[in-house]
Amino acid sequence: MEVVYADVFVTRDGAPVSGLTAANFEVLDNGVRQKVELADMEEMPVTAVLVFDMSTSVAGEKLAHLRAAGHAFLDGLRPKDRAALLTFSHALRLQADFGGDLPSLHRALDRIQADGSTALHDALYAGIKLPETSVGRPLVVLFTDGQDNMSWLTEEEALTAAREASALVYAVGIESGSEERPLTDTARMMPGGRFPPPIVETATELDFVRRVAEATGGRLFRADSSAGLKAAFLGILRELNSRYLVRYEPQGVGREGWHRLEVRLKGRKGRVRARPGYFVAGTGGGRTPTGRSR
Amino acid sequence: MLAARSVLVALLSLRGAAAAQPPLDSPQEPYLALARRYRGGDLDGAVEEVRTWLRERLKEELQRLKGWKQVADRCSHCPEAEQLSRFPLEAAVMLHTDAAFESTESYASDERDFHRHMARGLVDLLGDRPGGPSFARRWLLAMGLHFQSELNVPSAMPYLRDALRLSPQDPEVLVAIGSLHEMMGSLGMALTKRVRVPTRPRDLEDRLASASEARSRILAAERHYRQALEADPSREEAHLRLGRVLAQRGRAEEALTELEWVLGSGRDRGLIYLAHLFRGRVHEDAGRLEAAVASYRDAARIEPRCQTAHVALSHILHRSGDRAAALRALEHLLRRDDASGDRWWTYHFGRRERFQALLEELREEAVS
Repeated sequence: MEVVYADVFVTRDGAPVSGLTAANFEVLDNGVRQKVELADMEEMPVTAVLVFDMSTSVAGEKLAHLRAAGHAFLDGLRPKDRAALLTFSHALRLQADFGGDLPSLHRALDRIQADGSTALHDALYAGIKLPETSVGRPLVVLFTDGQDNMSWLTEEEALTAAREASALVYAVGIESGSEERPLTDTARMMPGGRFPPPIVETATELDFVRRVAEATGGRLFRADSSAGLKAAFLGILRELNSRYLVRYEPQGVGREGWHRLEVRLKGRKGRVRARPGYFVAGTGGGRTPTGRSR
Repeated sequence: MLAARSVLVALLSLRGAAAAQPPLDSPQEPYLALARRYRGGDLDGAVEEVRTWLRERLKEELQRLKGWKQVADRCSHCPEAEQLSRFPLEAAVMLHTDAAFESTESYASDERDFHRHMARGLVDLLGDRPGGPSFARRWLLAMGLHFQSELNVPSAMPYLRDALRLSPQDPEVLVAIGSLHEMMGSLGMALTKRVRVPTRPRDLEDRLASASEARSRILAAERHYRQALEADPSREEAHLRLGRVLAQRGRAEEALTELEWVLGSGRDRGLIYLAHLFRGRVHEDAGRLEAAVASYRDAARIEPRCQTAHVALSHILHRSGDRAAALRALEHLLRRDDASGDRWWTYHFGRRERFQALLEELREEAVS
């Protein structure tokens, strides 16, 4: 029996809305109303992948703040939650896998070093794939301070993969200031090289990760500086603990392909944030949004 | 009267002494001695010494040599021509090159730049002396490759163009110039895609300018690679890069022809690995997912410790609907701790190892 889970966040006037029941939610799957329940969040462990940018630009004070933020996040998880740490520069490294305990995760966080380019798209893809077979709520917490300059996968491919995956993505980014900086981390990595772009960069650096987060029902937390990272990570935890897990067994809709999802409130006012849809693969064991197989 | 005449004679003697400059090739001439010291094999000592010299003094030496060259170009039998021919120019070039590149962190970047410019000035004096053009061409190529490895296109391109002027059909230089164009074109294309929806007219204008610029760069890359292959049809890297830019231009079948050439006739393992990756991308973009899977598997088989092949393979399996296999391919990469360097990572950086090899080659010739 196929089950679909939608990880939903409800706010009113900017504050999370608590105390909602299944009766407060209306879910349309490809336009067809579904009969919904609320899953017991206490029983649903979070399977979190911390995906951290370890390119050269993150070195120094930024790295110290990132570590502190990561430690605070790990300490905020519940005992039944699981986490892994994936870092990326040009190389992806699984620093700590899901099977490890909390102290080993903390130790892995303390060991990480920043050096190299930025394979953001490849890392995001890896981050959303890793928790795919896990039971519970897959979560990706992505930190980056720059643009991709090394990935094999394109921006669109990474975004599509995120859209079709079951993981909820929260992104944390640092908005760069007005100071000049090399366009690429590689230019900074190599001595003396500045790469003057032949073209004007008009999109913000965090636009891509914002779109990825929103495509999964999450959002981007922007920090003005690395000192704000801990607050951002704690903000993610607070939101996570305020979300609802709406579940249903799809009725009256085809199985394969893209499903447009609309989650609305009934009887209460508020703004709903949820992923705009989910994807069921045609062959080879497609998955419903939280990894429950058919 | 006698006293005044004595003073006059003394003054005349002084003036005569000042006018009698020692010839440059006199063993006492310090700059010549320094170049000979380098040529004699005391590389470190010579480099250490030249770093203590004042810039103005070194500039004067270069100016003097340039003056000799001007005379020598008009008069091959003049003393200046003779002196220039006996001056160890190659050693002087490498002396300043080493001063520029083999530096400690405390050596300021403007000092390094100065020595590089000194070397550049000396390279221009090599002229037609035996081995001169070849030495100059390789030095210019080396400088171009160095700056390419730093993604410093404005600095790289002039050196490479000068190398091409010396050797117009040089396939190695043509590939290097092409790869600079390719890098800028590829980056440009990626940046244009980042601007998904123009929010104001200027964005649209910039995006169009960017797309146009990127296209012209890719075309320039293609042109240079084709020229390289006219000069040397067996040039693997030219086939590989031509294949990639043809793929970027949407000319899939032509791209495959070039990539298949590398896969069939190539000898460089790293280039073969990239050819499998690029072929996979061509198949993927054409919707031939099974063929793409096969290509990425081939890449992963050749270089099992390289990340990109596994990411590409995982993603194509994911696209094909085999999510379990996609995850396995990814886990295969992430759960091993012996990942190696990946040629894709340095694709746009040119061949830094070639830069170092060229310097070594030139150094050996300079001290022989």
